[in-house]
Amino acid sequence: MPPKNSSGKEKDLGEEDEVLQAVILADSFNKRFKPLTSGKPRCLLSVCNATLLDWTFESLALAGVQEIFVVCRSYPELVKAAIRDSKWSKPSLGLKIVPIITSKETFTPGDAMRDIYTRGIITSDFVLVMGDLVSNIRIDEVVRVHKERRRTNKDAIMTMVVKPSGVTHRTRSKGESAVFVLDAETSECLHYEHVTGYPPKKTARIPREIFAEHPEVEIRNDLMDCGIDVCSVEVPSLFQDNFDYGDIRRDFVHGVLTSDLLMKQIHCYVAREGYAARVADTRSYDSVSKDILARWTFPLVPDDNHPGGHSYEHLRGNKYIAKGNSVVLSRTCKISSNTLIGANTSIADNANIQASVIGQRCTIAPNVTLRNAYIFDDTHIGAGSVIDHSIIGSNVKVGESSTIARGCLVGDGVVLGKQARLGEFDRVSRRKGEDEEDDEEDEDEEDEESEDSELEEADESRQGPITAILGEGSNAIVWPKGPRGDDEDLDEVERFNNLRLMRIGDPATDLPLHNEGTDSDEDSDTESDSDSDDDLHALSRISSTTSASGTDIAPPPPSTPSKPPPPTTNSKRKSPNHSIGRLRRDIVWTMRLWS
Amino acid sequence: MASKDLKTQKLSTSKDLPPLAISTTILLMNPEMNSKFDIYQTYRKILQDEEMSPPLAAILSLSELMVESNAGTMFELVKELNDGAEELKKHTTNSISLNAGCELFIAFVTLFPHESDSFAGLKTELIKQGQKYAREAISYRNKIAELMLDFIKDDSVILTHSCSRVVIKALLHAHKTKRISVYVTEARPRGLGVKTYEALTAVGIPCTVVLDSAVAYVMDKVDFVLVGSEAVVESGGLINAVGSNQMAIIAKAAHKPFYALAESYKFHRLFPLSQYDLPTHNPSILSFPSLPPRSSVTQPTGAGVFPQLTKDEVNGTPSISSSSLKQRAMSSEQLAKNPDVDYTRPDLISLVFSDVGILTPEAISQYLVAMFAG
Amino acid sequence: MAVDLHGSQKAVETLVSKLRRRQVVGSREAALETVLVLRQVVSKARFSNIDQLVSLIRSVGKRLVEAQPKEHSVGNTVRKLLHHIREEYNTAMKANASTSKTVYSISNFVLQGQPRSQNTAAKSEGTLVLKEDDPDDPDSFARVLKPVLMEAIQDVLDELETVYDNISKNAKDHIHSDEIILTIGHSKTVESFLKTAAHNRSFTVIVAETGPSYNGHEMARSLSASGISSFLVPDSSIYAIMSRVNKVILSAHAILANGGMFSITGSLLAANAARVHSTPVVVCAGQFKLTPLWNLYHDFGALDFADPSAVLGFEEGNLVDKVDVLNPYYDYVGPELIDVYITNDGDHPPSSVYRLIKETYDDDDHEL
Repeated sequence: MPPKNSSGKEKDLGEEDEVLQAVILADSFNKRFKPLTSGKPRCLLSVCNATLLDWTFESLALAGVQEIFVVCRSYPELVKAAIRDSKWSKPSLGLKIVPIITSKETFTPGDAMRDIYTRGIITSDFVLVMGDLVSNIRIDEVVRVHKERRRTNKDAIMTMVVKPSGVTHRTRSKGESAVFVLDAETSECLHYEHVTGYPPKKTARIPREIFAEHPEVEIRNDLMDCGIDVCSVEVPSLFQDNFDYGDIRRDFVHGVLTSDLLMKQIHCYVAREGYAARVADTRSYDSVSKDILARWTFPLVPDDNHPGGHSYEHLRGNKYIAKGNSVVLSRTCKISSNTLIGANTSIADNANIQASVIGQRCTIAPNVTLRNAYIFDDTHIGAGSVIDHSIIGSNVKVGESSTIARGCLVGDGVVLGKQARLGEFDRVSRRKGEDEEDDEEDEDEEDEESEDSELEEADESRQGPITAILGEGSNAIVWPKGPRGDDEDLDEVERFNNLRLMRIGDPATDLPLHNEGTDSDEDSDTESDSDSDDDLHALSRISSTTSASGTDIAPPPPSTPSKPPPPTTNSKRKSPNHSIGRLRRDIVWTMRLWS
Repeated sequence: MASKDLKTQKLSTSKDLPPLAISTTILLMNPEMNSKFDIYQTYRKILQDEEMSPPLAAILSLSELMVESNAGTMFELVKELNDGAEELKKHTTNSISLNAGCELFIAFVTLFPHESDSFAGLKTELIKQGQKYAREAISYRNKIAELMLDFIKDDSVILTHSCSRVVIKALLHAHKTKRISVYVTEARPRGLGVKTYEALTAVGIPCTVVLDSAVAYVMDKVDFVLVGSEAVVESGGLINAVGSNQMAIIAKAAHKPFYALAESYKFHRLFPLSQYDLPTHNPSILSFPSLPPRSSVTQPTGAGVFPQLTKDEVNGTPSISSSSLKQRAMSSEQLAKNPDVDYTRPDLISLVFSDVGILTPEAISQYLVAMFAG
Repeated sequence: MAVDLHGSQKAVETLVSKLRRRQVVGSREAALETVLVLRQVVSKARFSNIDQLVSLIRSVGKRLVEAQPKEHSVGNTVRKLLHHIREEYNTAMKANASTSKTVYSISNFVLQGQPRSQNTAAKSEGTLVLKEDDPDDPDSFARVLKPVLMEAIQDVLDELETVYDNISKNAKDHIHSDEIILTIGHSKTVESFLKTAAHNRSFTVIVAETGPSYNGHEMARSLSASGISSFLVPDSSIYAIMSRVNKVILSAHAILANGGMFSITGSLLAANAARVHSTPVVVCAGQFKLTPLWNLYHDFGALDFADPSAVLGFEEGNLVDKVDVLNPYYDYVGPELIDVYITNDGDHPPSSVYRLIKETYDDDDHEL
């Protein structure tokens, strides 16, 4: 067993008789997983055959958290039932899990935090995570560091866990990342700048005072935000005081750091060891699953500490087959590496399974090819079908000789007829009306859908004709592709082109070409450039860009002392910030101020 | 190992075997049997049951003998049993596994605590025990198959030798849950490997018969070797159909595990140091013929073979046509100079699977010592 | 029958989660934790005959073993405890009444050998009055037996606590002056063995750094701190340096029934290199590591793979997607590569491990 785990194992968090609390924001507050999430909340999606909620609980239990509040908005009954039926609610585990149901009007994490404040459940420093966390980081260590700091500095209200991941790591979100400006010594977060993948952001603006006040500053764009925050009690109240705080990072962190009045500090914890990532979108769903199968999350791996309590046998080449001889593998099927197969699943002759996750009680008919596919429980894949880089919900029936191209999402209970063809990035779900139990949430969706459907034709020119053939006897409808009509009105992060960077199987290589000269560069300054191809590279396809962006104002090479940015007339914090250079993700700038 | 019982069965059932020297001798001896209780006939009758193996048949036969016996003391009874065992041994050329059964039963009878009031009562008890054991012991193969299961991983390739019922049972059991493929040796001259092949292919296990001489060729492709046994001896070594020893040597050289399956009634108190210490060895085995006149050697074999051989060489590929096979097959006299069984040293055996557990070869002796020593 | 588990259930569950999360690591620590939990279970348990107690302990043991099947000492400890409990029970019962009617059959004869060995059980002058399934006082059995059981558990605990000392006590007989010893990893057992030997002998230790954990660094530091002349070498030079080595001392994670062992990665390399140079390979291990199991698959890594970040940093984002990184934790070292096991109860060749296992555990506990 790795020795690193032995460190601090006897750490008793209750030494001050304080119960360590955690808050899970179990709602996604977005629609990236639609239509997989119509009918159940995102936190109940399964990743490697355990629900995200289970992974999150395990991550927290690992840290010795004793009381967990699960804030849920959509499908609260399902979440409650899932908690009740899970192993976590066994009294012997000593874990207290309280579901908190917030109103439908809770649209942002900020709303949820305000709700937590009004309920007054938080009594001390607590851990705030999203309900999509897969982590083996020792959060108790983060809490210890946080508390230590709080002892001397009451203004340190929050510690964010970040992980150096390199720039092109598969698990690092391309659509949504951030530049962290840290004090090299105290790892205080001095500035937070959110980076969207598209339109490509080229500049980061850093207030000049930072350089005046801190002798050594790290500007890092290689950090992956783990979505684990250790917060003190003031944090919910700050949300309460500032009603416009929506997103925790873009609004709250940014707001606190730029505010002259609050005088609060936020720190980062740069986790060198351990793994932590969020399943925030379908792309990270893919990469986190792969990380789990490749054992980066050890000991949270299917054969060791599977959060769902299943037991798997680990075979050479990171193949995981459910124990107990319930899996039927035909003699001629080919199982390649990085594959997980759930209990009672059968795989017929000549099926070819590559780097895929298959749920429990599935049947894979002869001659099926699965590549990077994620198949939930109780699904049947008909003979001769080919599925590539897609997520297939539970209870789905895929007819014979069907093809599901990359990036498709197939909702629960969908039936596809024989020889169905789903084009790239098609999303299908069960037609509404078959199931009367749909609650309000779904009706919402329906409105939205019909709205979208109207747009479908308008967008056809952009995306080409509808590629999907559902086959005979299908109960499915195809979701519209392409951006919505109100795309422009949406939050920057949730716009279509940016979301493309977050969907499974989408390399998005065409993106800059496709949108040349459209809606980019609105905030770029003088060095706005002629070549938007380079721009996107500069942001989202970094590794190849160090040379490509040579025309830009080059950032100072690492470890070379550089001058502070030229002074401007306005020196107040709220003043227009200075752009210090082109953003290149693969570089950590260390600047030493000339004194 | 089943080779011997199968042989015995064939004696009583079919005559289409190549007339082996051994079988004729046995058949010739049959008429000698006389009116009183014929232990050998009983033994043969019991063996007609497909599931029965020689040691168990021997135990049952000895139980039968006790039923017929009118011995009045323990001493007399043991003597009668020993005589019966001798009688059985006399009638079979390969008495090894039979002997193991006899010894076990006689040791048991000798050491059975005397608690019954009457000797007749004790005898009845012993008979009951013998029959009970034979009934129980039939299920030992299932137990061994179950023990073996963990060692057979999915998708493994297994090499086995000749035909053994316990090996077939273990393979069939594994086949229910795992995907296995099997190579089986032909096991000349009786070709019992083909019987294994038939049993396995009938249930859909991919199986290929390989030549005994191709064992080294095939060894790199297999995950482990699995053989049955005629007897497991005190050193932990194995007595099994001839060819097992070379298989074990090759497996060792290729670093492949060599597993032997043996029911505990095949543990035999014997300590052979070489092949020639086996009770089955006799001077005629491997003996050189006194050279006949030159003409008679070249005439019958040489005439037919030589032209054939040159033709093969011209073709470049040695083809095995049926005619040439026939002509080149060994004669029964030649076969008679060959052993039926051989001895495999314990250091070549990875593990012995038995109904008393999975044992290292060294561990066998402790069971034998506990039963027979002192 | 009411088997009250409430009090101890929590302790069991806590250990289960710790094992699953690998917060309890190292075979000795896992064994210690197991004994402590079982002591709690036994002290709180209510039972009125031996079978209830045994099945209770077995169910707890099964739970623990399933939580972490790769930490073999957990199961070993449970088995050992069961063995002790049965022994205590048998002596207590023998003293009581010799009504035990052994069924004598051929299959028993094969299993247990000649009958006299059974009947000549030692007559101990026990004063316990044991009555199983007493309808008037169902707790009487437990009440009488418990103090004895607690003693038995304490024995197991004591053994674990003194294991390093007992292994080391003959260290000076195994290491001679001016010898060059090679070891890998940072095993507490080997460390104390070498340090004890250093009281009487002066010798040199070559420590392989043992990637990817690089435990060897710590080992070398610790040895040199207590005055042993130590060299630290990279793993890749083990083979080359072997010609100068007099003895290889390894540790074991688990000793298997065939005399082989699971041991930290690199052990197989060292053992094979030693074999080529006919250098003796000595393994220091406590008897709680004796495991009545087999290496089922002759596969590398003993099928315990840790997290790849020790081999390739997570920051290497480019590679992570393209390369499958493996970090096997154990090697399987076969019995033919090992010369002797030095245990807390004497030195044994690999070939007699099966006998030790037979003496230490009851056959029917092998599968919990």
